[in-house]
Amino acid sequence: MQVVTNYKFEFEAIGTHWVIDILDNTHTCSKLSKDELLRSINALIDEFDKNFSRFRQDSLITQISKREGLYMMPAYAEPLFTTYKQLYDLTQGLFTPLIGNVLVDAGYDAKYSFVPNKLTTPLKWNDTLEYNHPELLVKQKVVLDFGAGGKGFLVDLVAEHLIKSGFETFIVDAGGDISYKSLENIDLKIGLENPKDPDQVIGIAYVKNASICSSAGNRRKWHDFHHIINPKTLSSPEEILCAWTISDTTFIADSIATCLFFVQPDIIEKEYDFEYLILYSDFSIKKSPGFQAELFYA
Amino acid sequence: MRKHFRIYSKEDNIQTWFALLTLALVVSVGKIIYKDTGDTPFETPSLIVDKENGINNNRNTVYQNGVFSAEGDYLSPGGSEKIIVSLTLTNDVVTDAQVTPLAELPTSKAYQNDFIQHYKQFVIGQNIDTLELDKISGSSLTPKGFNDALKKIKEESRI
Repeated sequence: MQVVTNYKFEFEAIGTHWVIDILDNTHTCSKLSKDELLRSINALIDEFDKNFSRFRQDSLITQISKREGLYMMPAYAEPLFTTYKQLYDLTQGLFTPLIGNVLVDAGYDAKYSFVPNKLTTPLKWNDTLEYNHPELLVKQKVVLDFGAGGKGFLVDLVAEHLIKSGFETFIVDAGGDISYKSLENIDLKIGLENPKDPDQVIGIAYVKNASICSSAGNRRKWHDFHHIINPKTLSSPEEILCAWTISDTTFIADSIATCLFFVQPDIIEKEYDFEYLILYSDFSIKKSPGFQAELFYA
Repeated sequence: MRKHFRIYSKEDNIQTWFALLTLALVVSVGKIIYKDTGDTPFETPSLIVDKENGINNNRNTVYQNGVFSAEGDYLSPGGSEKIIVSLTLTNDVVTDAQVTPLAELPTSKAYQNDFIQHYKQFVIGQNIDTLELDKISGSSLTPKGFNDALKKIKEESRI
C-alpha cells in the first residue's frame, strides 16, 4: 500500500519563523499522527531553547552567566561543544561562544536594551570552560551565546527526529536556514535574498540533499553594530554583506557562514567540506567552484 | 567564434595576460565589424545586426551583441598552457565574463584557479515575483521583541 504524506507546519520559535514541509511517498506508515508529530517537534525545540537561550531567565545559559561551577549538559549537546571548540581553534578564537558578554555589553542583552557600554575582549576558552561530556566545568561566570551555529544545530535535531519518525523527504526551514532531504534527485531552487532589498534575490542556488544557511548583518542592527561582532576588533564587519554556505549538515553550514565573516574560506576548508558564496558590500562576489547557483550578474 | 592567440607570459603575469587577451578579443571583434561596414570611421555605423537573434539593433553600438569566446595559449615556466575566456557583449557593455581553466600542470592549475577566485564579478537583485523559487535563504527575520524594543528606544531618544 502506497502512503502519501503531505504535511506543512508553520510556527514561530526561538525568535524566528519555521516552515516544515513533509512530502513522503512510501510504503511505510509513520508511527506518529500529524498532531503528535507537531507536538513532538515543538517539544524538541522548546527543550533546546530552555537550555541554550540566553534570553530565557530559566535557561542553563542564564545560570552559567550568574555562577561558575560544574554543569550537566544534555546528551545531544556533545557535537555542539566539540565542533564549536574545533572552529574556535581553527579561527584562533574569532568564532567563539564566549562572545555573549560582548553582545550584552554592546546592548544586545536579554532585555534588548540596545544601550552600548564599553566593550572588552571576550574570555579565552581554556581559561573559562572545560568540556568532558556531559560535564561542563565553568571556571568563571560567562555569558555564552550559541547564536552562530545553534539554530542550524537545532534544525538538524528536528531533521533527525523526522527521520526517526519514519519520514524521508522533507524540508525544515528555520528563518532561511534550511535542511533538505529527499529520496529523489530533485533540486530545490533557493533564492539568495538581497540583503539590501528583501523583495529581491541576487541568484538562485540549487540544493539537493543538503543544508543551506546564510549569515547577514542586515536585519539585527542597532547603533554601529549588527549581531555579528568580531571579538578582536570589537566591531561588526562591514565589508561582507552576506555569506551563504552549503554543507551536509545545517549545523556546519550555519557555523561556517558566520566564520566566513572573520576568516578566509581556505582556513575552514582544511577541516570541513562545504561550498560558499560571499556577497561583499560593493556587490562583488566570491564563491567556491562547487556552489551550484545561477547568479544575476550585473 | 574562436580564435587562438599566442601570448607568452610568466605565470605571475596572468592578470596582464588576461587584459591583453580581452583587448585582443575586443579588437578582433571590432575588426570584423570594420570589414562589414567597409572601413568606415568609428562614429558612423548606424545599423548593426544583433548576432544573437538577427534583430536590427538601432543603437549606435560599436560592437556586435553576442557571446564571444577565445582560447588563449600561453607559455608558463612549466610548458604551454591554455585558458578560455568568454565575454557577453550587450550594447557595447561586457555584461558577463566567464573564465574556464584548462591548465594541466598542478602549479598552473593553482594560478589559474587563484586568478578565477580573485577576478571580481558583480551581482544585482532581481524581483522575487518574477521568479519561481521553492525557498528563500537570507538572514533570519527579526523577532517581534527585537523590533519593538528598537522602536521604543528610537521614540524615547527623540527630542
